[in-house]
Order: sequence, then C-alpha cells, then structure tokens
Amino acid sequence: MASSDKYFVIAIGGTGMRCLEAFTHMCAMGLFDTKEINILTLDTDAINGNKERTENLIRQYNSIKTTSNAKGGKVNTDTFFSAKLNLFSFYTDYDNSERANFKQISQIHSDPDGNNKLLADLFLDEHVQDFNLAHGYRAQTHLGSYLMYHAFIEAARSLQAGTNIKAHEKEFGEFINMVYDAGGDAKIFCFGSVFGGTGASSIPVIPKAINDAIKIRGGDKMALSPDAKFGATLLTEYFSFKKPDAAQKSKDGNAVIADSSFFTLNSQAALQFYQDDPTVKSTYKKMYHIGWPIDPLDFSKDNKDKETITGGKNQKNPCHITEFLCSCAAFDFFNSDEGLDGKDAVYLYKSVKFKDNVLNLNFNDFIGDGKNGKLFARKFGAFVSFMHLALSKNKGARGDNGVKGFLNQLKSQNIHHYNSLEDQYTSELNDYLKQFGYSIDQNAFVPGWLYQVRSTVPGKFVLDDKTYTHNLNELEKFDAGMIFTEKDYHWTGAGSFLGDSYNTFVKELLEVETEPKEEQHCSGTNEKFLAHIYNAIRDSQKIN
Amino acid sequence: MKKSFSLFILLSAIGLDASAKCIGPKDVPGLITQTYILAVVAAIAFILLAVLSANLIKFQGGSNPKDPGKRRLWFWLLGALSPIAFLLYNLLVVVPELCKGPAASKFSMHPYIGTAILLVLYIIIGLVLSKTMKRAKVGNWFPSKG
Repeated sequence: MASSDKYFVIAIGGTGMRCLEAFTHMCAMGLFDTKEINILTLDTDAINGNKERTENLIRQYNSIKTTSNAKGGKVNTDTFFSAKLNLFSFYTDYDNSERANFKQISQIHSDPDGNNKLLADLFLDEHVQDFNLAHGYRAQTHLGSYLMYHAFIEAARSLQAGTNIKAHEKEFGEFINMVYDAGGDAKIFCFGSVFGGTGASSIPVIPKAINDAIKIRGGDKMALSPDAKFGATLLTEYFSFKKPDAAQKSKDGNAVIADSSFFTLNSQAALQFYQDDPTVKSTYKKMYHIGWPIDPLDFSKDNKDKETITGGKNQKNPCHITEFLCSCAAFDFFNSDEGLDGKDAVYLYKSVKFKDNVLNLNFNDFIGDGKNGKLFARKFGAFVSFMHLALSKNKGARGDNGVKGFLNQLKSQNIHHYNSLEDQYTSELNDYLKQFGYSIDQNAFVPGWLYQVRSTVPGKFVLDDKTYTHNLNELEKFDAGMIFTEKDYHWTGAGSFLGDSYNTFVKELLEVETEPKEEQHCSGTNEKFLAHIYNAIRDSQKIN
Repeated sequence: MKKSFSLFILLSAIGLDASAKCIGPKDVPGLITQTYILAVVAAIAFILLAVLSANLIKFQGGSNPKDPGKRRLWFWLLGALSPIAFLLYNLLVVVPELCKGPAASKFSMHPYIGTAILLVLYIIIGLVLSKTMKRAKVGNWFPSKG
C-alpha cells in the first residue's frame, strides 16, 4: 500500500449494494483507517430498496463525521468511523416510457431497412429485447453488459455536451474525474455478483467503460492511466428466491424474470468467462473468488409476496456473510500491493473448514491471520462492544438514546469537552448502531446487519454465541466485556460479583490516557468523542 | 438467684463509683480538647465512609445515569448523620459524666461547637476531594457546570 494510493469503490446491483453495506460497517469499525474512499453506486434501478438502504447508511455515516468545516469529516487514524467516504450515485435511466426496453433504447425501428433488427436478433431473443429494464437486467448478462457500457458512454456524451445534464450524470462525471486525476495511483474495487443481472453484466465492462467515458468526457485528450489498478469479487450464488410463475411472466414486459434455480449454472458460465476472457484478464489485477458451500439463503422464505420481486423499493434483502467476505476482499486489495505488478489478473481465494454442516469462523478468517487477525479482533470486537454498551446497557435499542448516556456519564464526571454535541448527533449515532446491531420494536427483536450476517453462519461467528442473543432479558443483562470466547480478551471485572464491564469501561473513559491523541487526527468534537470512546474500549479489551 | 443478686450489687457499686468520680472543672479543658480532636477524627471517618460508599456505587447505564445522584445523596446523608451522631454521643455519653455546676456549664457550648467544626470540616474535605479528583466517583459530590 503506497501512501499516494487513491481509493475507489464501485458497488453494482443489489448484491453489490449489500457488499457496500458491509464495507461501510467495516469503515465504521475503523478497519479502513486514514483512507479517503470515493464510492460509486451503480444500478439500473434508481429506487431499489437495497440501494436506498446502503446509500442512506453512508449518508448517516457521513453525517456522524461531519464537522462545522468539513462535510463528511476528515480521515482519522485508529478510531471508529476513521475513513472518509465520498458517495456518488449513478443509475441507468430506464424508468421512462421511451427507454423502458432494449428496442426503445436502441431505436431499432428507426432503421427503415431493418438491418438493426436483424443484427439485434442475432444476439438477443425477442423477449429479451422486450422486457422492462427498470428492475435490472434479470440475469441477461449479454444484454446487460452492452447496455451498461452504453449508459456510461451516454452519460459521458451528455457531460461533454454540457446541456441537460441530470444530477446522477453529474455525480458520475465527478467520480470519473477523480479516477482520472488519481492517475496510476487509482485503486478501484468493484462489488457485485457474477450470477445475477446488473453486477454480473457490469463487472467485465467497467474498466473499459470508465476508460472510454473519460476519453469522451475529455474530448479524446484524457484517458484512464494504464497503471490504474482494478480489483473485483467473483461472488457465486448464495441466495435464492421464489420462482416466477407463468401468470407473472405473462404480464407486459415481464417475459424475462431471473430464476434463481439457474444461478449455479450462471455462476459456472461466468467463472469460465472470467478465466478465459482476455479483456477481463488484462484490465483487472486481482479477482477474489467467493463462494458459498451451504444451501443458499432463501430471500422469499418469510415473505408473503405472491410474485417474484424483480427489484424496486421492495427489494430489501437481508445481509449475508459472503457479502462481508467481499468487503474483506476490498480490505486486502486496498492494503496489499502483492500481485499488482503482473500483466494478467491474479485469482485469489481462501478456504475455511466446513465439516458436518458446521462452519466456524474466527477472527483469523477475514482479513488474514497474525497481525491482521488481531487487528480484526480488536476493531470488530470493539465495535460490537460499543454497540452493546449503547443499545443493551444504555437501552439505546429500546427507544432511549444510548449514546447520550456516554455523554451524560462524562458530563457528570466533570468532563465537559463534548458538551457542544447536540442530541441530534447522539441520536444519529445511536440509530447507526441500531442498523449495525439490532433494535426493539414493540417488544419484538429486529435484527440489524450483524445479526442478519450471523444468522447465515452455521457455526461460530468470531465471538461467543451469547453476543448474538435475541432474548430481550438476556440482552438487558448482557456484559459487553465478555464477547470473546478467549478469556484473555475479557475486560477487567467482567462477570464478577463486585464489578462489571461497564464500570471498567467508564473508568477507562475517565482516564486522561484515553482522551483523543494528536496522532488520531480528529479535528471535530464529534470525531474526538468517537476516538475517546474507541480508546476506552480498546484499553478495556487488552488485545495487543 | 444468688448469681443475679451478686451481679446487681457489682453494677450498683460501679455506678456509685462513677457518679462519685464525675469530671470536675479542672479536667474540663482537657475534655474540650478531646472533644475537638474527636470532631476532627469523626469528620475524617465519615469522609472515608462517604468515599467508600461512592466507590461501591457502580457506574450505571441509560441515557441519564442515576449513579452520580446516588453518590451525592450518600455524601449528604453521611454529612447529616455525622453531626447528629457526634452531638448525641456528647449529650448522652460525655455530658452525664460531668459534675453538675461549673464543670457542666463550662463544657456546655463545646459539643455544639465541635459538631459545627465536624460539619464544616466534612464539607470542606469533601469539597477539596471532589474538586481535586473531579473525574473520580467522589467528583460527583460537587459537580462543575462545565
């Protein structure tokens, strides 16, 4: 990792958005210290539920970091929310009666000789040319790649012309300008699946599409640096959903609907393509194979939907461990220069023991073992403890403002550095933690990201199983200092009769040594408050 | 019966002996000094009790933790208890030992002055401790407004 590196993330489609959600939580844990990361969300569906959820999460992240003179805050070191995230959103504009399907976009019938139609028929079935694109490419990757490339080029032309530029095109322009400015220091990582629609269609064409968009945007005087480095996940099938029935397919524009029973086949075909395609091999530096050996997660299981959800605001699928592993792949790509010098793409994977239907994951299985394993344990453990302190101990999950509890505790111990923080700030941070952990709605447990991910692991998930309890009584008494099964990492006083972990944590919080340090580069009061909390938890944990 | 009768005789003799040896005017200055020393010792003892109680009260969760209020309450409870206990001790144990007349009248004001000293000392030591150890649990006794 060179200090001049510039970091970019492109999240594509529903799966890409959930990978980005995991990535954002990793940033909140502080696993992307001192990095400014430019993020482009890319979808065919402007109102997709997963896209909306992830973008809102990043906006919330930025709001938590925002200071009076820096929107989205600044990069910090060794603390929570240490990375600075710049969000850009771009979507292909298909929610329009004149651009709803391939035929309309390509203006096939504008050719009186019918040559366009003949050419299209060579590659695409009639019903593929006709289906409504507003909810994505519906596993038709041959069509998707073509249209996604077209969308990039169209946006670049619009930017070059300088008239009627739409807001999302403007954001796309800002993003590609930054990629161009980064030159050979650009490290661009793409999140998406290889078995579905939008992600699978886009990943192969992204480097070329960005390069060509930069060229058009710059009037052929600009180009993507040949030293810019691309990485991506090759995420194979891990979920399924309700099979579409004939009645749904018979509706106008719905002749093609993705069928998850073909996802295994799609994955196999995609991997063969990625193995052989010369463009992919020459444009990407690292590709991370991520697969799921266990039965796919059924997204339709608890839903009472009559039809297959093809996209839109209803597509808010739960999160999965494989998406978390994808964000860990981004960690490796951004932090390691190994394998970036080669001419062809390097394909990477890491295997985990799966026996008797049990998959145990410990802190060495995510971003590497040794020093990185300890780093993961420290940061992941600290954020989970923070979540439990705020939500379980301080009752933040039950409608109280758990984060304000820390602030009031500091105030009552005569530490007034953070008095200027308003209720809106503590409330936003509390809400973020609820999205990360859990919330309680009318006495019912609502799982957040962590609990959703945990539920997909048939075995140990880094921490003691009690950490993920859904039982409201157990949560109320939960000791945030005993989340590890490794007793060496238990906080002083944890589980003892006289003391408890919260007492230990507050004592650490009151020590002068845990106040934010200059080397943590926190400028705003909000960033300093987070660093103070982080330091107190880190010192309570004793993970060296 | 014989045993209990003997015990009654012994206690009566001790009682008679004690009343016979009441504290006279000559010993009153010494008793006054002893009373003030006891007031200082009591103030320190009660402060130590207040420190102990403050530290035994754990930091509590919630958006408005109640533990600082509990520590303050215990500080003032002990602050109220200490002069009452000291005054009652003097009035019920020490004063009856004084010979009636000049000795009693010479000592009469000092239990009250000692009590006042104890109370003032308790508050001053508490204030100093609270302000010098602002971040400790005793810091809750006299919180600063920030």
